[in-house]
Amino acid sequence: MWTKKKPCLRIDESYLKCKSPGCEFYGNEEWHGYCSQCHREQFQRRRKKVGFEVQHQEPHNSSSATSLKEKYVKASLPEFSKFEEKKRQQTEKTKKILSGIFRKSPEASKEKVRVESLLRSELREVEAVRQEAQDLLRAIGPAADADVHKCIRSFYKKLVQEVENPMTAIEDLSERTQNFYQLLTKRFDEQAMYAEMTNDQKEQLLDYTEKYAMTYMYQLLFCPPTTTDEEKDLNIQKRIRQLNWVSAKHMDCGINETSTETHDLVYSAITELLGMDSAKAPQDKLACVVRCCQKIFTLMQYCVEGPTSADDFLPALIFVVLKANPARLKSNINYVTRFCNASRLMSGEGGYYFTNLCCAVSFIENLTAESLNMPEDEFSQYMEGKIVPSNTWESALIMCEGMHLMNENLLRFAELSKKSDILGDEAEALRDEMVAFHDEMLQRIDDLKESYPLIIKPLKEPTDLDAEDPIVHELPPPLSPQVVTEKPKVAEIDSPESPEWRLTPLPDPNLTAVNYDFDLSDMSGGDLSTCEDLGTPGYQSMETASVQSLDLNAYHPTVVVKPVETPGAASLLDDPPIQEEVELPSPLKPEPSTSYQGFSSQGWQIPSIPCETGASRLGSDRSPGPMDNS
Amino acid sequence: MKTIEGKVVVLGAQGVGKTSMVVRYIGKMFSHHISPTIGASFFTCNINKGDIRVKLQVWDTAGQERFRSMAPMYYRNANAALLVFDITHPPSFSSIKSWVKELQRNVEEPLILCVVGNKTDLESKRKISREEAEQYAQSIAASYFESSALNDSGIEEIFLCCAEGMITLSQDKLVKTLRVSPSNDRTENGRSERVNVSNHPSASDERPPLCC
Repeated sequence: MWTKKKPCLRIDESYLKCKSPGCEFYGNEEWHGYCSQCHREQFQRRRKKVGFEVQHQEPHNSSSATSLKEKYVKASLPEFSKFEEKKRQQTEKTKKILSGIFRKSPEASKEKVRVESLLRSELREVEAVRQEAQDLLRAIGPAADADVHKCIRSFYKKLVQEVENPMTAIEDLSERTQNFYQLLTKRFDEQAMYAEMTNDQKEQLLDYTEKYAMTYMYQLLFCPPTTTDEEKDLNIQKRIRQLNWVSAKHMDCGINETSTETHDLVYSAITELLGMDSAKAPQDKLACVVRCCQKIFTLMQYCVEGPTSADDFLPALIFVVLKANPARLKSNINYVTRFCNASRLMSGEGGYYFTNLCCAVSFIENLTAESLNMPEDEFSQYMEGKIVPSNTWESALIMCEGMHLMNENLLRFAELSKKSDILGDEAEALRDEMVAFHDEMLQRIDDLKESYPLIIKPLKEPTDLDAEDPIVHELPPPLSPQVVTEKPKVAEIDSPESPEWRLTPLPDPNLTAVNYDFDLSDMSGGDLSTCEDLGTPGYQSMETASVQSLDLNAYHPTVVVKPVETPGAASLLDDPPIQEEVELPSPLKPEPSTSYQGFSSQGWQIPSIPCETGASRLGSDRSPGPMDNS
Repeated sequence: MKTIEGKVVVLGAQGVGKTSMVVRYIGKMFSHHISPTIGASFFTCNINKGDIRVKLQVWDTAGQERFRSMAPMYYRNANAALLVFDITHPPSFSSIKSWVKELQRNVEEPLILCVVGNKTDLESKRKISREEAEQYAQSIAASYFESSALNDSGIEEIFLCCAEGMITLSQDKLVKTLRVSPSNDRTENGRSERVNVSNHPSASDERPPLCC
């Protein structure tokens, strides 16, 4: 059936006689001008020539007479007798009269009843098809809808008539169907009522028509008793069963049979392929094939690196067909070939995959040792079941189910142990890191300690400013000259402490004015007051420190400042005029040298800054704080 | 706008790079929206030439020798055949010759033949000279191309040549397998407009294939 139909052999003038030379029977237009016997002979010969058939399965191919007999005996005896009767009648009458007689004959009406009962069994599904296409039918309008169904009805009436005639070859039915499709396409293009439709809608309507008609007549057209389809089905099934030892390795298609993912994909492909038998319309069967092939492509992508080529795909498809062993495979293929819209089958994805499926079937039918690349005797031993290869699909399924589980578990364990190793390593690394961090931290602390040693100065007692201090005496002389301008005032305010060098600083009004701002930020007054309020001897205030270390050249932070005896501290506590002293800006502040020196000494004594500032803040607020950590 | 639909079958021994060639061509055209689950063994592409759209259906075939007997099923109703061989592998070239003989024997309708010498990237290992192949192609009235699927050179030309050949074939009334359909304005309008925008109106040939 893969060659094109031969040009029509119709004879115009005398179609009464059989066309084959020397035949005495009358010919029939339906049989291309042959008599039934010669037509069948011709038909068988044509089939054989195509080579698509299984060679070994039809011993009756050579002699058509016996083959006919065999087949009809096999099919049903009453049918055979009916055939004989008809043949006799045929010799006497023309076709037209004949067909009239046929319809009236009791056998024919019985046949009709059978046909109708078959058709009725499909009614529900036909309705379902119609329901599915509801949207489309509504879109094309009631007129077109009615026309399409009218066409379908007339078509199946004609077809049923032919089916009733058991001598009608399935090829003729197929041709009639294809003609119907073509006529319908033409009708859609030409008739006014379809003019409104888009191309897409026309395509859909064609699909629908095909589906509707074919679903309706499925029982009549699928694997009809007039063909040898059923026999072929059994043959291929047997053949595939014989070949069950063929593994993916034999097919060289790169499918890894033992992996679970592959199994699942192969199964889903097989399921799709098996689904082909349950679909009714040819296009649905085709869709099953397409889905199956797409599953195989997914499978191949999983198994083979890079894009999947036909080189990989076809062997995989053959493998799937072998493992699926689909029911009525040949019938299905023939049905699709005969009754699917030829333009669809010839082109498009469906056509390609269907061709591949046919190819796979053909390969399986003609499979030899050579095509599997194995020695002849090994092949025959396999075929006879004498040896069973260890790695067949079935054994992989049955025997190795436990093995699979074990392998998978082993894999999982390996993964786990790897992970735990990694975890251990990481934990160790973390520990090392922590130790390193600890050491580094200690090191840093040591370094810091070294570069910024903590100087714990001995507790300082308030300097007794009046005491004889050798340092004071060592102070450079230049300070004293600055001092004395308004001596009486200073002396009056600061009488208790009044060291001369300190209390001198208000020489002239100019200086006072200049230092007024400075006074608030300066800590001298506050400092003093804090010390007094706490009543505890603290570090020597900044002021005092600066005072003490006026000879700054000799001063060093690491050198512990000698405590200075300040006997006047006690007197300070009780001294009320301290407020006054703060309020009075001029007397204390003005001495520029002191404040300046204080700043520099501040720089030297970084660690003691915080307490000083805190104290100064408190002092400047004039609310003596309760705390002073100094 | 007229649409011509034709079938192109890719023939050649195993390992000559049929699939790589096809994949390279699709990859360029479909890089964004090719479905990864669909393999490279079947694809369709549209090439626009002037006001004619050529729809190519490319059928890849299995090159293994054991599937050789099934080939007629594939090239049945084909309108063009790409005969691919490997320029570094002489047996693949002789297999082309046997393919051609088979095609000439079995295909009645006119068939566009394109002989393609693949793997020009292996120029240093070349065994089949360009002259030899060209001469052979001429003798069978085929066009000859050299390509490299690896370097992506010379592949577009092959498919363009097929499209051009189909347009010529479509003028031949005897060719029945080629499906020529005048586009319905209502449905094709949107598409053809889109195509026209991207096509340069004046250039008549050698325009890049466009797909939709």
